[in-house]
Amino acid sequence: MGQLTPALAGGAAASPPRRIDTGKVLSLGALLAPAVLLLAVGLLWPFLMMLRMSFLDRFPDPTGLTLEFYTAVLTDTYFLRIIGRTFALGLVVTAITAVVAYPVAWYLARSRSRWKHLVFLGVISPLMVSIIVRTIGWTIILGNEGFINAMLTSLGIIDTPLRLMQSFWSVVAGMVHILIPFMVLSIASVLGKIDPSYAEAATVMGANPVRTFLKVTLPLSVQGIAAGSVIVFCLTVGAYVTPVMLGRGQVNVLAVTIHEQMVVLVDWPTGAVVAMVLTAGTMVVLTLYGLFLRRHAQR
Amino acid sequence: MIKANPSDAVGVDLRDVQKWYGSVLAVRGVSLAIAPGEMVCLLGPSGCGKTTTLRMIAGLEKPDAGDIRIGDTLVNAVSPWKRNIGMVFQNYALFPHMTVHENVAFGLTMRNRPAGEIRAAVEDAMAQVRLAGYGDRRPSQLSGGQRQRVALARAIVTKPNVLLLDEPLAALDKKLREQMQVEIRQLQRAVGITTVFVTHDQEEALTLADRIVVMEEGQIVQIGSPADVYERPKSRFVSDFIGFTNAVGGKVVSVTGTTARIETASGHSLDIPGAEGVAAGDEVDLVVRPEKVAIDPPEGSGCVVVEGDLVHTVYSGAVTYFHVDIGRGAILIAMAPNAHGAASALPTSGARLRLGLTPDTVLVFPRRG
Repeated sequence: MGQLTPALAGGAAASPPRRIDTGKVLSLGALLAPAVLLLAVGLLWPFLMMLRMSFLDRFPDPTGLTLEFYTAVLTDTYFLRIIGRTFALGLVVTAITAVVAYPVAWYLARSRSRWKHLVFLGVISPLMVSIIVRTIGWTIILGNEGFINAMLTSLGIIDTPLRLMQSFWSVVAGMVHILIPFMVLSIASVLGKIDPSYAEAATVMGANPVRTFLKVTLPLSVQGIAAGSVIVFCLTVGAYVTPVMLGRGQVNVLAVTIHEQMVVLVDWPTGAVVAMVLTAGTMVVLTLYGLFLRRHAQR
Repeated sequence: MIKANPSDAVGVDLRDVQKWYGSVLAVRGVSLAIAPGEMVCLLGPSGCGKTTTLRMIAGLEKPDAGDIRIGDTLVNAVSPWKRNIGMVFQNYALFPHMTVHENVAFGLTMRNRPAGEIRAAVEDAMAQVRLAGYGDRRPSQLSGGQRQRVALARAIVTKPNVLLLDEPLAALDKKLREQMQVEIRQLQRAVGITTVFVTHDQEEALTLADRIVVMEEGQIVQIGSPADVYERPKSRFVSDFIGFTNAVGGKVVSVTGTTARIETASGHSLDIPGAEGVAAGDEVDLVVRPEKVAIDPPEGSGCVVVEGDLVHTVYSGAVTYFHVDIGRGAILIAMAPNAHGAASALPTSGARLRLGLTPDTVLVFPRRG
């Protein structure tokens, strides 16, 4: 860690000598160690086990490797429907969350009102309520004798109650509710960092508020929408409890199926294949999304 | 070449404009008439209301009282995007997600001009700020001076009625700032556009403006040409804010017509002509620019000679400042150009110096607070 001597500096003008600072490397290692260890033991190792399991002909006591279970899952309309439903749920929930969260995030990022912290508290409140309470809450609203059906019946709009529970949309409602905070906070953090003079410059140059938003503010906040979308999408396609509780067994998604295959049917390889499909599908969707954003965010 | 027909240029008129922020009156009744094609500078320390005034002309702030006219149009209720204004922000506010070309084209795109016309106008404006060929770059790939020029091109490409500049040079280093001062002035003259700019830098104001509007605590304290404001400041605040100033305390002994006889803290007696608003017995400050204090004046030159001991010398390249104790601790600073080189030839501390004051360069202001 000595000083660079003039002779050395002169001689190495084209490519400065690289020094490995052992102290820095050690402290970096020490800082990263807990996280690396946790990821290796808690994520990487089980993932590799699962990957291997998806190619085994049976488990336990495998006799060889096979693609049989992949072929079975990917040609069975039962599984294909679940795969489609899961990713549709992910996309729908992400889209709705983004649209609902943006104005709230805008308010949180721009407002100087003294009620702002109450709104913030309201935004994160779903995270403070247990899944059971939240589910019962939605049952009170969506159930056959629930608020919406009771109101529609009393107004004479419907005769028999609508089946709002146990449906795809009841799961959407529950997922949007719980995931809104992640989207709001992601977007608000980016919106808060955008210099207000960009929007002012656009305004002075003749852009009305709508065009200022579409041409300047929205493109500049795309990073926040992207970050929020990744979180919301991943949490949605991997969700287990909300689809089970609000779908009441009628809205089967991949996470539920994995549990069913492995724990109920004790068919480990099929469960592993479904898990791999979920992982791969999520990666494909996120990659496509990233490419889309890269192309359009710059315009 | 973007050039407004001189007869197209319009003026800006502010009448008793006020702006409150909560319970603070940030702008207290500003009235100002800016002639077509004129370049006016709002000068003052931070918090004096100059930026708020500029933003009210742009429409980014609404005045709470008073009228603002651009040309013959009362714009109080006109939205900023309908005012046809060009503005350069302190940090330039170039859109980071657009190319330089798209940035400059923005105003014309918002006016829904045909693509061919936009392309030609943008190239024209880019050439005018000497940045032809930079259209495909991103703002992040430009230097500070280049960003400044893009911001200027973007502001003038729409042929706005008024060009507003908010501390346009604050982000640049000294050398670049001086160069851009010249460029902005030339561009403004070439385009012939009515321009209002805001700065806290007195040198920038003196160099650039046709007229300087000095503001203090939300009010205009003096309006005048750069020479006016520098040579004949109306108050101690203006003289302090613009340029470097000597101030020596004193007391008015008698007033004859407009000539006041003043006994200075250093024990000298001076007759100052044109002293207004003072009466016998008043505590006053005598203010004089260092370059107006003659060093070792020839006999019979008509100035008042004071003598003192040199206590401090500040050599600053082109000129040297001599701090002279002219009696009872009162310091008078004289400035002289270093015409002869050889710093060793300068008088050293402790030397006795004769200084000459010409009475009509000395200003008298009532002592503040």
